[in-house]
Amino acid sequence: MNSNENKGSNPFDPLIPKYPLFLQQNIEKEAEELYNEIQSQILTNPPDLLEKIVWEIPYKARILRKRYKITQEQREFIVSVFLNYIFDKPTSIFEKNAILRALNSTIGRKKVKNLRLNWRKVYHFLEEVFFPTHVDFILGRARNSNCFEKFLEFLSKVRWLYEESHLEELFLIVRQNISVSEPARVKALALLLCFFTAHKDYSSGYYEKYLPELFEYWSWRINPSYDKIFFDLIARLATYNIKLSIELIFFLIEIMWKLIGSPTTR
Amino acid sequence: MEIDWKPYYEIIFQNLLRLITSTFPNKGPILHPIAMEASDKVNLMIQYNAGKGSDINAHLWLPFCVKPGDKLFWTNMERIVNVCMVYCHPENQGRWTQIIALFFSKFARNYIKRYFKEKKKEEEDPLVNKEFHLDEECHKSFMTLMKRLLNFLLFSRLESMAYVSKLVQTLIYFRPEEIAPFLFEKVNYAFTLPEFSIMGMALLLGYTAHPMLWRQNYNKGLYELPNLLFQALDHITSSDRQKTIFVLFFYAKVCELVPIFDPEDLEAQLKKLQLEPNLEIFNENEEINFPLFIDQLSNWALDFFTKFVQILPFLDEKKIKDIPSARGLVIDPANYFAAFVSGSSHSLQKRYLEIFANYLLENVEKTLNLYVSWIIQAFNLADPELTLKYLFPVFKEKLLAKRHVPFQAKNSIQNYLLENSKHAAHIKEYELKALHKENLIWYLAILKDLVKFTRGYTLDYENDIETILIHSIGHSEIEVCEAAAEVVQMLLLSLVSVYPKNVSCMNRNQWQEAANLKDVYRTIGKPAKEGVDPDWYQSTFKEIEYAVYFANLFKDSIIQGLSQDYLANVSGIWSEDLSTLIDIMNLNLQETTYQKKQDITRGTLLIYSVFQALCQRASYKDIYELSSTTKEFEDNFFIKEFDDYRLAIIVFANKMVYWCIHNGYSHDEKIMRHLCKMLASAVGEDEQ
Repeated sequence: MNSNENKGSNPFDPLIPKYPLFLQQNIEKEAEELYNEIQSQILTNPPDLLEKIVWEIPYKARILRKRYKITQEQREFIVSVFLNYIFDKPTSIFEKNAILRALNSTIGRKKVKNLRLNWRKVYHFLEEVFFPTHVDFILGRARNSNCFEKFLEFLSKVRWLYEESHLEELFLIVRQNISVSEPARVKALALLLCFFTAHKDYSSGYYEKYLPELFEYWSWRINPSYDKIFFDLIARLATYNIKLSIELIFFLIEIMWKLIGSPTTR
Repeated sequence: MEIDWKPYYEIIFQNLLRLITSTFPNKGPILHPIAMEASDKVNLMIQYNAGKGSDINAHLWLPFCVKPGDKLFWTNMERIVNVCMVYCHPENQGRWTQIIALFFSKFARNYIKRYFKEKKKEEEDPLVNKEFHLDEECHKSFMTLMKRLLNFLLFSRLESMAYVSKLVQTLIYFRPEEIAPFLFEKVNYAFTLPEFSIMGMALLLGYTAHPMLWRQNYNKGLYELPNLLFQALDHITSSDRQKTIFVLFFYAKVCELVPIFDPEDLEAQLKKLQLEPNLEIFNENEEINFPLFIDQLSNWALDFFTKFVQILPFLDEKKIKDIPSARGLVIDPANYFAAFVSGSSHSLQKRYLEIFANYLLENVEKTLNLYVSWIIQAFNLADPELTLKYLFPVFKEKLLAKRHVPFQAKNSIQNYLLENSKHAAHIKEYELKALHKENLIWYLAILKDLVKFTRGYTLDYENDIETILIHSIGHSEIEVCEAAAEVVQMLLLSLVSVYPKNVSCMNRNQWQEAANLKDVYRTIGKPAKEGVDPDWYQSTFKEIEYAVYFANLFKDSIIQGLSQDYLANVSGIWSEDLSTLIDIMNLNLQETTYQKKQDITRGTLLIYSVFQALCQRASYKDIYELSSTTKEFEDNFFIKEFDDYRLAIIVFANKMVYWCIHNGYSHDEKIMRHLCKMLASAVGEDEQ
């Protein structure tokens, strides 16, 4: 809009009011129109919706997020659709890869407070897609390295969306694995790193009951590089820090790769 | 959530010590991944991971588990520091020092983060439970530990200094009264050491400049400044380029914060704004003599610039070749002189320009130097009118001489240009001085920097600029013509681009008001976001008119000339298919002539350069149909006079390519590259 009235009134970007007048545009209407377009595409549920979700909607969501600043409600709606397609619908590894990428960028660094995630579903997804014991005919023998990295990023973003009981289930799996063998121990620690979380809604007592167990594992004569994993875990408890540091993501990717074998060694 | 960690301290600190020592690289470089056999994955994985990673991530946990009165924690931390100090001693430094410095800088940052978070909570809600908040005793133990470490870390090698600087920076923000005097003491001591290296110290001073000089944070940091600036000045030498770069970094960081006034300038400005002459721009309880301080700063600025210009011919920092496809003006963010020049007062800038003009007059046979480009850009960003006034006459004197024999055009492009030039008579009066090709290119490259960001001020020198350019285009060497084309492009970009006029870190224009000038020394270091208010340059009618004239001269007249001479019989419709065209291309090799090739190369180069500069504001009229929103934007942004440029370029390039194929010029790399790029820009291909 080329008018004096608009100067400084744009709520979306603090820099835009500082542009010369003729470069300022009123983008409020455009953002709403774009979101309505995405929403109507999803709600009308056309037969080619999966294709749209893979090819079209991620780009529109990206423009919405980057250019116009997406609202929390809009973000949650789009994220819930993506989650549905990843965990509930039969999709190929390529489609999952594309949706995961879009999902990660849509969540960004924000918290999608009103969503809840079933921990079991996420865990089963990890087991079935990345540690398969049989060939899945939908997924095929497709290379899933890209998808795996995106999935780890996704895990670090949504760890605090699980229900309260997930920690009990997680420790059950960890206990079953940690003393079986060295590879199983590494996997158990990796699972802890992926899923262990601290939430400020729960009391310290809730977490304290797991501490002796955690420190017992740590006191075993294990490799010094695992110290990093334990320091990260206790840091989460001390800070409610839900973020997985980037270095640890890479570290985890390495561990995972060595467990499932890289595509070249398989 | 307040978990009691005390029962676990033993195991945690034991493991922390193990983690620290295990991350030290003791056998050369950090281990790289070892090729792994599938049968023994896990064992090899452990072996591989044991030596990898240089980050100790305990810094996330340590600062958040401390509680008031937790002496056990600090005793354990002391033990850790004691172990680490062995690895920080100046006699025993290595890559491990970096790891330790990084770990403690992150630890300090998180500790201070927690402190400010709790402080904010207390301010918002005074009744909040402070039982677990950090208290003075914690801070005391923390600072004692950090100071012990800094005793050694401040004398680290250059490689570790970046991390040490960040640690010191964080600590000064936290406890300036305690750390700043300690730091000054160590720095002054370091300057007296025989094995002292300015590079690490300059890096440290550069990084800590903001917390040290930010008056709200630490009032007395400014008092030490002149001493440090003069001490560092001794280390600017022509023999060690690296040292000079680090000192420049330190100076740039200081100049971003502290304005440099000529005392007379300041006095005059104060009188003009009817402020008290007894300098009410300072606080009452300042412990230094501020008029003397201002005097010292301005002396330092002049000394520094004079010394730097003296050693400039010996600094072989070659200029990196600009990427020719740049379609916008780029401000170099790494320019160490931008803050220095724009932070100086008007008469100081004049003095700098005098010194610099003398340098340009005296040093003809010098290779192109990055610093020259930086200095000119800094002057232009601060005050283009003044820069042109001082520097342009140097170029005129160096490049042009009065002609004694009648003018004769060197090539047909010069003819086309002279037919359409307003200043043809003036151009014919002069000739280029007989300079070596390299020197001529060097001067043209500086001229390119000189016309960058000049807005419309080049209008005052248009006849001389045109003379230099047209004579350069007629030069027998094609490289000189290329350099001239870059000048044309930069001049047009400076005329039609949209960029802020006050690209300085201190908004000098604000000092024109009494209220702002009063606070000039009180608000040093105030976050820039509050003060930045860009003053945009937008081309006026006069400047657009000049741009159109320039475009007509260097683009349309050449298109017209080339069309008349070569394209009279070309219809623009390609009747042959591809395979026939390839045959024609291969058969017509022998028909090319040197003179024609030269003319077409120069012509296409100039057309492309001009169009490249203007296409950012030329609409897609008659090429694409755009949506209503884009059209609205177009109406505001694109300049109406350039509406037909894209189509004209497409028509010309289309005919020219056809002609080149039929006449054997399609094998010439330069001609075809210009034509292809021209077409791509015209259809907006590079924007997609």
